[in-house]
Order: sequence, then C-alpha cells, then structure tokens
Amino acid sequence: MSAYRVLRGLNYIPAGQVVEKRVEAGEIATDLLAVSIPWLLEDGLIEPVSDEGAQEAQDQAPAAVAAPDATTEPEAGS
Amino acid sequence: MSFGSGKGTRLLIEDVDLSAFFSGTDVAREMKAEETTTYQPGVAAPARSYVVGLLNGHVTLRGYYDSSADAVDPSIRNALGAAAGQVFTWAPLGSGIGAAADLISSRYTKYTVHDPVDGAIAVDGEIQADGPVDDGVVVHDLTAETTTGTQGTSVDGGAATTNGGVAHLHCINTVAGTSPTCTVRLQDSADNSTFADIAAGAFTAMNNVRDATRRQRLVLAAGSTIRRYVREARVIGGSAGPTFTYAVALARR
Repeated sequence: MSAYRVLRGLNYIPAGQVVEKRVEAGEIATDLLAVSIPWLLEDGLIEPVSDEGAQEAQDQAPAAVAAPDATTEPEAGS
Repeated sequence: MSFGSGKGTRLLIEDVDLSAFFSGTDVAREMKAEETTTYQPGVAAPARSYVVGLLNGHVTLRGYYDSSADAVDPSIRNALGAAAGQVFTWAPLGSGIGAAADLISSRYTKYTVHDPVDGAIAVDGEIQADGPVDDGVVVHDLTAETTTGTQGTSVDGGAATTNGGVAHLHCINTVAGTSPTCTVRLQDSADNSTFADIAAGAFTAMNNVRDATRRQRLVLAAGSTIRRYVREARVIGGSAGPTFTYAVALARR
C-alpha cells in the first residue's frame, strides 16, 4: 500500500469505512482514496514517501501517523 | 426558471441575525462608465463611447424599530461611524446550504427612524460597500452545532476557480457550554470525496467571549485556487454541551 505525506489537512472516508477521517499536515497516510491521489499529487497536497520513510515515521512518531479510525472494523481473524 | 419569494430572506450583519427586523432590502451593483468620446468627423451617426470604470455597491434596508439588545436599533446605531466595516451577508432565498448569498464589507452611511403618529415605528438604513459585492453561496446555515458532526454538506461550484475569494462567518450570541471553543475552516475538493483545507481558509477560533471572532471576513488571496466542491468543517471543544450557532458563506472571485 502506497504511503503519502500529507502537506495540507485532509478529510476523507477510507475505502470500506463509513466514518470520515482527518489527517493533519505532516502526517503519513496509507489509505488515501485511489480516485483522489492523482489530483492531490498534482496540486501539491500530498507527496509520496518510501516504504522506509513511512516505517521510520511510524517508529518515530506513532501518534502522528494516520491510524485507522476507531470505528474501523477489525480484520478477519484479528 | 425558478422564481423566489423574499419571505425567507436571511440578513446577517456582524454577529446578529437581523432578518426578523427588516421587510425589504435593495442591493445595487453599479459600474461607473467612463466617457471616452472623441471627435468623429465623417461618422454618419456620431455617438458617445465609454470604457468600464470602477464597480460599486450599495444597500438599502427597510424595517421596523426595536431597541432591545441585539435588535435593529442598537445594532445599526452602534455601527454607524465605527472605524471597522461590518461583515454583511444577504441571502434572499434563505440561508440553506447552497443558497445564493451576497457578501459585503459594509459601512453604514445613514440610519433613519420613522415615527408616525398612526403607524408602526419604522427604520431604514443605507450601506456603502467597501469593495465589491461578492456573489457567493451559503456553506453553513445559521444552525447550532455541537461536538456531534464535523463538516457540512458540500456545494458544487461547477468548476474550480483560480482567483481567490472571500468568506464570511457570523456566530450569533447563543454560545453554550463550559469553556467552549470552535474552529471553522473551509475545505475544497476536486472529486467530492477527499476534502483539503483551503489555504488561509481557517477562521480564527471562537470561544465564550463575544468579540471579533464572532464576525469574521476572510479574503482568500487573488490567484489562489478554490476547487469545484466546497464545504465548511469544524472542530468544537469544551464540556457541558458546547454549542455554537453560526452561518458561513463563501464567494469565489
């Protein structure tokens, strides 16, 4: 799954969920809507980050990484 | 074609809803035609010619006198001659989300009270627009918001625009709760699915103090993009049922 650094605050409903999610500027998002990624990139609202960069961001500031919404259904078997 | 009645007109001036005090509003847009007529030797039908000059806006209000707090008389009387302009939003078809609204930075230039012996005491006011009259839409109706819900319904502008805009926030004096706070921001979207904060599109946070944060006018820089879909989003904090009653309108330029 691709990871992007959000450069301006975004709101969206991740695929398969019903509750809107907020991601602040500077956070890493891994569940952006595929349909939105092209214009978000073109308008400079997000930038891609490497898998290593995304992992590093998660390790250094887990609270700042966009986590699944609290209402997310647990994955099967979890 | 869709005609409308003026009965549901919403008239918001500063942090007061003055709709219930007025019965008539005239909003005039003017363009100064600058004459450039020259000699026209040999022309069969000589005529004057003009170029487009400056735009101007003017508002006339007619209503009924009420001297209660936050009623028409103290609202206009206190604003007349004030150094700062008034945040003025007029929505002739009501203030539902998507309804048309004119946004004006206004200056009262005249306030008259008519006191006939055999009729209701009436008032009229005249307003000079300080800048253009901006054509906008309502993005948040004058309704109460609590910690439940974080965004309004989007409004489809048909296409993105690239010349900035102006936005008004009117929060009337019915804030409730303990240490309530409310931050309202504007968001836009190209696809009506993901919404991004509009650059410089956040209003200054409001709290339980009635001050200038309850009546705000944001000017979005010329040249800045506003994408096709726009909406209002909010973060309300505090305890004991924090509640803010406010309206927001946005005009593209």
